[in-house]
Amino acid sequence: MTLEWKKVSKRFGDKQAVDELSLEVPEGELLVLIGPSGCGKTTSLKMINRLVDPQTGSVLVGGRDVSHVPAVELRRHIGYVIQHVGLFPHMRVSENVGAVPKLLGWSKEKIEQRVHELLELVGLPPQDYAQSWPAHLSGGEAQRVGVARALAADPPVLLMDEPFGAVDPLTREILQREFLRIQSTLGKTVVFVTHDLDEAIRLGDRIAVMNEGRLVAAAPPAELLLNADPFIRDFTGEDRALRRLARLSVGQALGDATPMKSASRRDASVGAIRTDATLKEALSQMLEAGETSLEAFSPAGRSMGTLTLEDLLERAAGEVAS
Amino acid sequence: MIIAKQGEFDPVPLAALLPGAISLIAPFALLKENRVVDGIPMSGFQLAGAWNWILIGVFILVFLASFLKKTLWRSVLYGGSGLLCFWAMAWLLVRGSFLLPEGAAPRISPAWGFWGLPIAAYVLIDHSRIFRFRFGGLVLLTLLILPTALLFSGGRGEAISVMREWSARKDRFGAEFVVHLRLFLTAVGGATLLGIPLGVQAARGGRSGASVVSFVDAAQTIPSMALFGLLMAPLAALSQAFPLLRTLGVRGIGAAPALIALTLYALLPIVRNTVVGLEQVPDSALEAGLGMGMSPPQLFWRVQWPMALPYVLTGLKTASVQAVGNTAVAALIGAGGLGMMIFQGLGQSAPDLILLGVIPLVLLAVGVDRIWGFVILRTVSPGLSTVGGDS
Repeated sequence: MTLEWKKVSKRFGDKQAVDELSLEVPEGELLVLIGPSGCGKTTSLKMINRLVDPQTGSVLVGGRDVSHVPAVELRRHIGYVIQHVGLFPHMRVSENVGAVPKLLGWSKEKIEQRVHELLELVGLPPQDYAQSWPAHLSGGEAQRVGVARALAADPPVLLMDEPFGAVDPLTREILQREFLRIQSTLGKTVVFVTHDLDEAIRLGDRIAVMNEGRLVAAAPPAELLLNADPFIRDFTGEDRALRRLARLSVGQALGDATPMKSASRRDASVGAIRTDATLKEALSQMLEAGETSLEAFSPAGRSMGTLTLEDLLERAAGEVAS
Repeated sequence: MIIAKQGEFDPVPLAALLPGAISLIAPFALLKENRVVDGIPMSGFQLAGAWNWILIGVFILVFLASFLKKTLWRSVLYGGSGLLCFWAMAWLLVRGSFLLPEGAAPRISPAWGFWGLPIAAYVLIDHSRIFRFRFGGLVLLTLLILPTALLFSGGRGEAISVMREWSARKDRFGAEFVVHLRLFLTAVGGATLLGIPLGVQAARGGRSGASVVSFVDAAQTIPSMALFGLLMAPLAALSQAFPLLRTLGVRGIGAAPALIALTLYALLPIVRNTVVGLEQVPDSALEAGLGMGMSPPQLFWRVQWPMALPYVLTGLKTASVQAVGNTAVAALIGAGGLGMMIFQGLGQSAPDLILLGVIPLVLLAVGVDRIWGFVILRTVSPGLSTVGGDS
């Protein structure tokens, strides 16, 4: 389902929270909204499920203006994940996950089956977790339940408001990886708000940068990191070349289409690297070994060619389209 | 080693042994020829005769056990000694009643030393872990009441002063007890029906809500006697002006002012706790509920209310327990109830009659507290308490 903001503006008192925002999200895209705090990213997100209504302009979900859809009806078909999770502490995990299906009047058996499926999907074995109380979950587990709850009624659109912002960095990375896996199978249209650039680069199909209520740029991560706009340059930081290398795998640099797996760990042997490692990891390995080239191996152990420092320089400068 | 290491000495039993020892040494009971005369004081020692060595032995055992490690056996000793103290309390009174002088209605009254034994029993039983299991409370209650009832049965307990007072006014006592129950239940019921909606309204914010809370707050600061007094004049005037009210029983004294005052007092904990309960619901839960498409009534009944429930019920419990006690004061303006016994006893300088009012009052308050505790345990989601959350 597609999403669109059409010349949307919203004021809160003196403050222009969102200023003439126009942006389209094609079906199945994971769009990251990013920007400094107070830039209007969360307000823009909340306009989609009508937790905030714009003063001018319109928001379209699947081509329909949301202001013509009853808010309650609309929200039941849009998954919503928030930073502080907001699990209902008086309900068991299974009841939390089944909350939206229950609102939609599904049968008990159907809800139970769906809850089971979803807990499996987010990596929480139902036999261990379905009957637990939220108070007994760790932060990471709670947010997995939060994601499962948002996905319960299989909504075509998922809104995520800094969902992994309140967990420790290690757990955050695991959750991001898991979420990418889930998204690759479900292909939802996702709007994801964050203030963490690394997270945006890792997750986003496209990143929309906002500042003071305005859209500054919207582009795929690799392009964004080449953008010459002063605000974007400043926002993406001194090490944006490294960030760009982190987006690409050795295999991609060598011209094969092996998708990057951030889960990879390079082999310990110096002078060799797996094709699913990132170019940032390759650079680090070259610096460590004092070499200017590395032998690349597929995960199966097949030699895939030689990666040179020149390859990295080209990629970092963005001279090769990615 | 079963001896506890230094610094692990358990001081709690001392709080039981001290009052226990006092009840052996100090005047435990007064033996009286009739209701009015001064009695002959008897200590626990004198009443128990050779049997007091059992009590002394048990006290020494408990003292020694407080130096031992925390084990189940130590807990059994504490619990058992506590029960023994309780039984001894009844048994000493029965024993004393055989020593009574001849007379028309001789009686044995508890003296101040008497209260050492129930205190000792309470401390020891409370400190022991042996009744902390499912239905443990019921087992304990049976163990306390059944032997005591057996001791008092067959006329052996009739010389105890409170029993004498009771048998002299059985019907009256029963009637006042019912009046007391009715007054306090009506007041708490009314305050519940009024207080919860007021609390919900106040939690929604707005000036009306805030003013409700401050009004209820202010009512609480007026002493109960003063509030009864304040209500008498306007109610008397109303009753004069409207004969209909008079036929309904609304007068300056009696049940009408009592019910109004008691309801006002019961309102505060109910309104307060409802407000606090609703306000502590985290914003994230509300946002999640709203964001998933709950309508405002669904949000209230599925999220806010169940999460506020433990607070609301605790407020009802506080209000009920307080109302049991406040209702006693209502006897002063002619509303009746157990307070009648107390104030009559005060007027006649008859401590035994006061006890006849006080003892059921205390038992009623404890009972009401326990009933609410049970209701809270049963109706509040285990997910909201930190204990017993599993399974």
